[in-house]
Amino acid sequence: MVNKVKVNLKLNGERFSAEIDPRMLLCDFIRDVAGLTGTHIGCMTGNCGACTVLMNGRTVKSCTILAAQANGSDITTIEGLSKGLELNPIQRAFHKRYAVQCGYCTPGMIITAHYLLSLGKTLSRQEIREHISGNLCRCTGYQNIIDAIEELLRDKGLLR
Amino acid sequence: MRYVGNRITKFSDPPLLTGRARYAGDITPPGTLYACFVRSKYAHARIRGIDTSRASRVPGVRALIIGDEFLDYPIFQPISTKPYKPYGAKEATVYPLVVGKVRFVGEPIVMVVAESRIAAAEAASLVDVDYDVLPAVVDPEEALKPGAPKVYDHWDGNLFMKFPSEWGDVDAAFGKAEYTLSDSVRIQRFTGQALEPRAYVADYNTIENHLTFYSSTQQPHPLRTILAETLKIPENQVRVVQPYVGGGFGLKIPPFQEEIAVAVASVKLGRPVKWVAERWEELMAGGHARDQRHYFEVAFNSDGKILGMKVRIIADMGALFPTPGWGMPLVTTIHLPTVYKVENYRIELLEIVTNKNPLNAYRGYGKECACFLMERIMDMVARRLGKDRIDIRMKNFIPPNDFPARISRYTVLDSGNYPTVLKRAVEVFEYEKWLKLKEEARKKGRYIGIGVAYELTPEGACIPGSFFLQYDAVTIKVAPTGKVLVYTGITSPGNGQETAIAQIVADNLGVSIDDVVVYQGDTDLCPYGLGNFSGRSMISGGSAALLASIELREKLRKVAARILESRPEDLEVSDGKFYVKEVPERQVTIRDAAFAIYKNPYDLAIDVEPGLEITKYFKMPNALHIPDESGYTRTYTSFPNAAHLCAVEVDIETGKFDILKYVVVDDCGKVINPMIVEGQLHGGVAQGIGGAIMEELVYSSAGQLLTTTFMDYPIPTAKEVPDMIIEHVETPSPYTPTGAKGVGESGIVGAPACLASAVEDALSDFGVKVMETPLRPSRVWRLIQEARKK
Ligand code: FES
Ligand code: FES
Repeated sequence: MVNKVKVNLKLNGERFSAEIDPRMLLCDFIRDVAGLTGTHIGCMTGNCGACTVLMNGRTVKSCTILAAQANGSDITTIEGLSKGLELNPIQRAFHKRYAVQCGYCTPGMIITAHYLLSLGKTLSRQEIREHISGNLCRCTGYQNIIDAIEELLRDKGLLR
Repeated sequence: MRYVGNRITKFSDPPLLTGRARYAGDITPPGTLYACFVRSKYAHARIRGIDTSRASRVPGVRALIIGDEFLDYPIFQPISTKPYKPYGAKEATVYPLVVGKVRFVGEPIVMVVAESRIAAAEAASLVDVDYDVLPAVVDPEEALKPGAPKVYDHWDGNLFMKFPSEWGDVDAAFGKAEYTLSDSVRIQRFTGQALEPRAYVADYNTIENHLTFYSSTQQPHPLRTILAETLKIPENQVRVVQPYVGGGFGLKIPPFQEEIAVAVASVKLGRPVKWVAERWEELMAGGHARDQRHYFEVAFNSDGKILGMKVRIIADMGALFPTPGWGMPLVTTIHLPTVYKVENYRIELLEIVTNKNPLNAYRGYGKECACFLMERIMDMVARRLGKDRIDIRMKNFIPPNDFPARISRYTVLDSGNYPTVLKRAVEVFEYEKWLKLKEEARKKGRYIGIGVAYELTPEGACIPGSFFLQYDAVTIKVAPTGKVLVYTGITSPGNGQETAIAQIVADNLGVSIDDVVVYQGDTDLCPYGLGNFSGRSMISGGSAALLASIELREKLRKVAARILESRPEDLEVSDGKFYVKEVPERQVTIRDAAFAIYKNPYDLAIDVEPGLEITKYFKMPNALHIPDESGYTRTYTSFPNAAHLCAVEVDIETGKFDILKYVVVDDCGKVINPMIVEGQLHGGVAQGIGGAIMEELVYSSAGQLLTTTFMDYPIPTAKEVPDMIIEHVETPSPYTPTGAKGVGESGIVGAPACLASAVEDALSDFGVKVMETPLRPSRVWRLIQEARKK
């Protein structure tokens, strides 16, 4: 029997703690222990980005770190970005442009977009492409996603 | 307001955008057990014994099931090989787990069921399988040789079937042609890989003998029938629920071995059982696609007119699944010579089994191979004659007044206007300008190339005696308050068909789209339908929605007329109201008319049947399964098509190329929702690009799959997929009441051909021929080196 470890962290603004198997990955912790199934699993090898969450304000692929490593950190998942089904501006931009098809990549993609916008940096379309290239989407061909992010940057005067 | 033709945003988005949508893998009923499969390490081996003693000691393990325990569950096959008996089609029974011998790496041998995923995985790693390893056959042409290892011991060889398609007098055509050319094209093995891996949750209720099955499937109703037949549970005691699905692309068409195994395990154990595939399992055992070689000869005259062709297609099926993978090369065969009028041809298809993962359907479904072959031929002929590649296509197109056009014993094209579509694409792309840019670049030592391809995307598959047909159903219920509930037999694995259906219903019923809710994917709620494949949602589902809406509207109209003391034919309907044409201020809401039907059956609604609920089935009228007097049939029912033009620049030092511009002008008939249609094209082209430049499933000579993660099987990222310019030409289908032709597979069909054409054009100075994909830098570089040596 493996000894359990205790993990204390801030999850979407609230304190959350649990005793877990030390081998547990952060993505499984979020989905199975915290019950937040908006964080998706597409590969478990760090390639697809469906599991992307914010850890202390930066994007991480939650399949690439152990839950225990997140002890004491501040984690934001897709559920933390809006209230219920209410859409925030990023989500509205995605909705308006059909930047969502099956939606499986969408939470990770929106977390990445959120991070990108939080940087406050001026970006070109090509730079947007590069920034989201760690998030795979099999449905949209990315064009509408890039259009949505471009529009959000333009609104902030951050589009090159 | 009219909704059809407008950019209505997708209904299903808010839960997806906020992380609240539930996929099958997010569903965990109380008491759930978790499954894990022990998979074959070898491509071909007899199983001598299985020792589960170490595994059984892992705490939390509830069952270790081996193939022999599933002998009572041969998987019901939703598509029968019987109609293909005349061509030698053979049969194979597939069980949920391996019985006797394994036929591909990754085939499930033992199913472990445990209280947690970790326990199941741990136990699976402790199962000892004793293999008697047999020589594997991995190359289809080797598989045909005498003495090759046999994949199925009870067959006389590895040939699954030999299928002919012949037209005209090919020998005479070759006899009189001024030119002939021969070569071969080869499309590699690749696959769809929806971002959501397959997930199944079976919840069997022992007391009621009732099975609820949550599946990331594309066909809930056929899956219900398959489960009932395989498990021998009465079909009225089985409910299949398809929650949100994270992409299907054909690869979630049932049934899979794991799908059945999970259901049987739940029945045996009396507890919910859940399994979610890992990515490597999807790559190894989730169904593959393509893997076709085409050896061809073509005869033509100096004016560019193609007189005849001979084609031999070698299709590597892998082993066999009950899923419809073996239909894929057939689809290539029966749709040659695609959009071109080639009146004499002889095609022979050989479908061969090997020790690889079986094929399943994948978006494109063989149409991209037909396109690739024909488009390579067009470019070759143009080059041989020194003619422009656009002109050659124009010369050979089936002319617009030829429709309906029979192109093979199995296929009649419904409608089309190929010259107009290509002309528009040439304009949008600015072909002339790019020709100049290309020349200028060449002078500076830069290698720009222009790609041209014309895709034919047969949709609305209608396969005799199968669950792949063109009928579907919609139920509409109008509540007393005028709110509309719609239930469809089609499903939406992510593309937004629910929204398109709502658009059709709102327009034809005359209500606001905000008053429409669409339910899909639950066999207890929805009428029996065939789900999602072959671009059929608008073809069959959209048509059924239109018919059902009109019938309810006419019933409401009668009552509205009585309320307004007018004649039904004098009323118009829109935005939820009936009004008198001449005096529009005299109006009654649909809500009031609906209320009257429910509350006034003896006065206002005296001459209509009570209730406002209806189910309508629509069946495409142009399939033909009873051969006509010439022995001809019709299998596909709708024929969207598109022109692709692109520009690439090749770095001749590395073989890498960039896509500089990409244009698609598409004709999918009447466009219901342009935003969805464009999005489908974006996604289709992106997947086509993946197949054309990077994706390949590689097997070692021993049958080991070498590409089992997104690292060695990369799919396109935002860096590989270019922006696309999309335009439409609408040639409505003569057979669907909406005029829609389907768009689910458009884009993927033409993209590989277009890129091959562009790369070849860029390297024309070297005389490079591009006859094979994927066009990885290493392959392009090698092509340049080889050409330079000559
Ligand atoms: S699941 Fe984490 S990157 Fe794919
Ligand atoms: S929308 Fe399906 S993977 Fe992105």
